[in-house]
Amino acid sequence: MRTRNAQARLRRRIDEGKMLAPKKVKWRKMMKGRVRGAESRGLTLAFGDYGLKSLETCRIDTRALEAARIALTRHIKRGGRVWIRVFPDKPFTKKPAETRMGKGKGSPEGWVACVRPGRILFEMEGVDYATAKEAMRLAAHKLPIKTIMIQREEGGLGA
Amino acid sequence: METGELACEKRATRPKGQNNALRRNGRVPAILYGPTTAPMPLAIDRLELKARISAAAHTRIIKLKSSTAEIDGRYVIFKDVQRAPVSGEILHADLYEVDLKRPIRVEVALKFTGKAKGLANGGILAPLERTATVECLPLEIPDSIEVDVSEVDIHEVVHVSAVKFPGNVKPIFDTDYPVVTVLPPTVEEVVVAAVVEPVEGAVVEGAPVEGAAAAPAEGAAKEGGDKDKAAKKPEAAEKKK
Repeated sequence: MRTRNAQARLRRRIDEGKMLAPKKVKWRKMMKGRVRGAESRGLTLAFGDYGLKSLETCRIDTRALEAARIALTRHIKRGGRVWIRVFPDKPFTKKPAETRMGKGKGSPEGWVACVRPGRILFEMEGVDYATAKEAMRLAAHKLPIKTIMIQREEGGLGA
Repeated sequence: METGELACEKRATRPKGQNNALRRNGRVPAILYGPTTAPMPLAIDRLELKARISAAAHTRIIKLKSSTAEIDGRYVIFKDVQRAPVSGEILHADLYEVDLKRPIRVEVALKFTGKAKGLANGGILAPLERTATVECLPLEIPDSIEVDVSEVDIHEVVHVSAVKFPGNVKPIFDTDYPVVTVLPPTVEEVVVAAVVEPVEGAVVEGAPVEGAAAAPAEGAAKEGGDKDKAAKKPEAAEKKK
């Protein structure tokens, strides 16, 4: 019952545009695919001074990303800015409970972002190092993968 | 500006896999080229290269040291550095040969100094650019360019034309782009209090006798549950057939 309520809440938030989801897609369902190798893009800080970098391969769903974002923004309160560097644009499906196999693919359930090692997930700016570190720690606990916090090297080459 | 020194050697490009063998032995493959220089593959010690590239080195112009006469004594800058996606180890470096008497275009880091006026009102200092393209002689490349932000209030912007560059350094820009601004404070998220759902078995005001109401309800629930199970069984049996 609780799961069904949570799903209904999630759908409602996606419909209201409060969570990360594409506005419109060409195809409702997508093949699962495999996420392999290391990331080749989104490896360096582009906006902020601090970043959270993934060390593992994973599909991060909307709820985890949203939870991490909320953890970040609540910890820094009014001080800084946050960027989300991944977007969950891949739909996943689920068959209803107590349903036998077959009868086609399940209905769309949510959205995931495919993440490979090396990808910057979040960036932050406008706060001191200690606040950023604690905020990133709290956010990392909401994610299903190991992460590492990185910092911009001032004046460095190729950082 | 000071010049640093970097020891390097010429490297072979064949057989394949040579570069990975170099990396295993603590060296990094690199390439040297320039406007009048044909590309020349090099190998550099990883730790020495790392120290030279780091911000603490404060040297943009590097003098190459080598036992090979055609490489020794050349002045270069780092054009590009490739790094491993996770560990950040240097995988490859591009060295660009420069003529010390000809001006070159390079990216120089911007350093924001002073406490912006808008920060006192809760604003956030937001650098829009972190580097600026400048043209100058190789030995006159500044470590960084200071941008004074002490007079910047919320929603005010410092443009590149307002930045003071050293006399021998010429900024290169087509449009007068903004460099830094102070954004208004972000609105703190309002934490919505969770709605307390009625708990089963809780005492409701105005309810009749507790025991009398609760007992039939439980019984009804059990009966309902049994009926459901009974109704499901024939369906399951049919499906098996």
